[in-house]
Amino acid sequence: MASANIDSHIKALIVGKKGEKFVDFASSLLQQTGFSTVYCSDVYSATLQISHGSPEEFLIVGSFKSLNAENGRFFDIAAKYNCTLCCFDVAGSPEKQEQIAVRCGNLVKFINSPEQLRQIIKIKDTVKEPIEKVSTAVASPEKEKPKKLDTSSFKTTQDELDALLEVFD
Amino acid sequence: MAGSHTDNPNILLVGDISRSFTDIRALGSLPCEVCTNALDAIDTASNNNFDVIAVVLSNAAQDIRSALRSLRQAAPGAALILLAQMHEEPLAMQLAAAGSNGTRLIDDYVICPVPKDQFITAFSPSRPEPEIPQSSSQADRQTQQKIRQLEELATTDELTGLKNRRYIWEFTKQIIAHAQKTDGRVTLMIFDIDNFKHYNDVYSHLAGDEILRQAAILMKKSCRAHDIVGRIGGDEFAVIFWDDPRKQKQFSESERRSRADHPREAIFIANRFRSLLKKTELPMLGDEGKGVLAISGGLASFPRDGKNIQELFAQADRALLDAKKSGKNRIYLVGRSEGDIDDIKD
Repeated sequence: MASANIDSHIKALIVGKKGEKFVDFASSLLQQTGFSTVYCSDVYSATLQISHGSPEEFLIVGSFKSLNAENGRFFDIAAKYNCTLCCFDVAGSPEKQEQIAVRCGNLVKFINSPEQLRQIIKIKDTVKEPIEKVSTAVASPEKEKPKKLDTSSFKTTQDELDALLEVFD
Repeated sequence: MAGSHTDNPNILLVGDISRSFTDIRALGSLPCEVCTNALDAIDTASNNNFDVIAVVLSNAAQDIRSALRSLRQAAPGAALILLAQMHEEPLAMQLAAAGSNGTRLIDDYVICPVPKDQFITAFSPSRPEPEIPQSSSQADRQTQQKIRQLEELATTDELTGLKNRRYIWEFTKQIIAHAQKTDGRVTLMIFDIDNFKHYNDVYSHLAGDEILRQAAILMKKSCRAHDIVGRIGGDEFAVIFWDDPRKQKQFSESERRSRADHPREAIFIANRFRSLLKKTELPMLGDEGKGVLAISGGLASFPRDGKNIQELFAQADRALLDAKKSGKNRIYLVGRSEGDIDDIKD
């Protein structure tokens, strides 16, 4: 099993119900790559997590349907706190996606497969900054920049990830 | 965390508050912040100190329970109050009740539109009595309790315990406005006790009062929990049958429309009430007290028979008069004055 090497101040926040296919997959993947993971059943508790003044940076993962509740307002709040959002299961709503992309810029990633999530986590691993954050974002003074992930340990989990993907497919 | 207790409390209002207050300008004198949706409110409450968070039940959140839970955690020291329309009171009561773990989603609720004075009194921290020092939260609770008692007195018929005319009128107005938005249905029944004057004159007013009380009990017993029963005059009663939003979802659009065209449930309930009345024994009427009580009534439905409260009351009243003219002991449905509702099959 991989060791947790990502700096602990990056927290993965999974919005959705345990037992949902992608939620479980994302959870396993994130935990194995060293993220501290928090479950939120909906955007209300997710908002509470990100706005409660904690110094963590968040990588938020959830289905488009769950994150888009309350007319997509959660995206704006997450963007305000400079959170990175991985939004999956977005088929059939390109217009809404576009609107959100305009509002939140590169902080939002729309993904349609487990492989895409894996790629995003890989990018997060190889760059020091949180992924593709807009340059105008003002970092909280208390927050430290994330340290680089030890990629060698990440690679050792490849077989396990492939096995997970097989289960998911 | 609660804000500092100055003369005025810090208030966060959540949702579209346009229908929540009788005079929205009154808020200008209080330190209020407004968030139009629950997510912004959770965010704002997490980063500020509020004494009171008032949430509009109908439009603040898509999932009100979950939103309230998170709001409570965002501001654990703030009083969480719901702003509910009259027809939302059953849901507000549920949310105010303690759950299985003993916790309550909200501290209290107020029925809208909230008058300026009540709002300010309800949300201003009360000053402690000089002789008996107490925490402001205790004083707040007492103030809320007094307001609730006054509300109860102002909207209840003392003799029967039913709602009074003022409440019935306001509720009908609000529920029609709600039905207009949701394509819902509202049926109004007005009825009175046949020969009530005779009982009063022959057996005394005490006997008359007892008849009114019995009629009230039996009507409440006949109705569904969410229907509203009131006494609107001497021996005149009104019942408002309306769609329970918690059960509405199970009907398709076409089903709802057909149900709206024909107030079947109201007719069923009215007949159940008459049947109970027939079986009632009233000892104070002596030999005359068994199986003689009867009523005449009129039924009118929104939107079919009236587009607003005035039209609906006028139509139900006309049907009631027709029923009386035709020999009493019958209930007429507007547009079906050729026969009693007993004759309506489907």
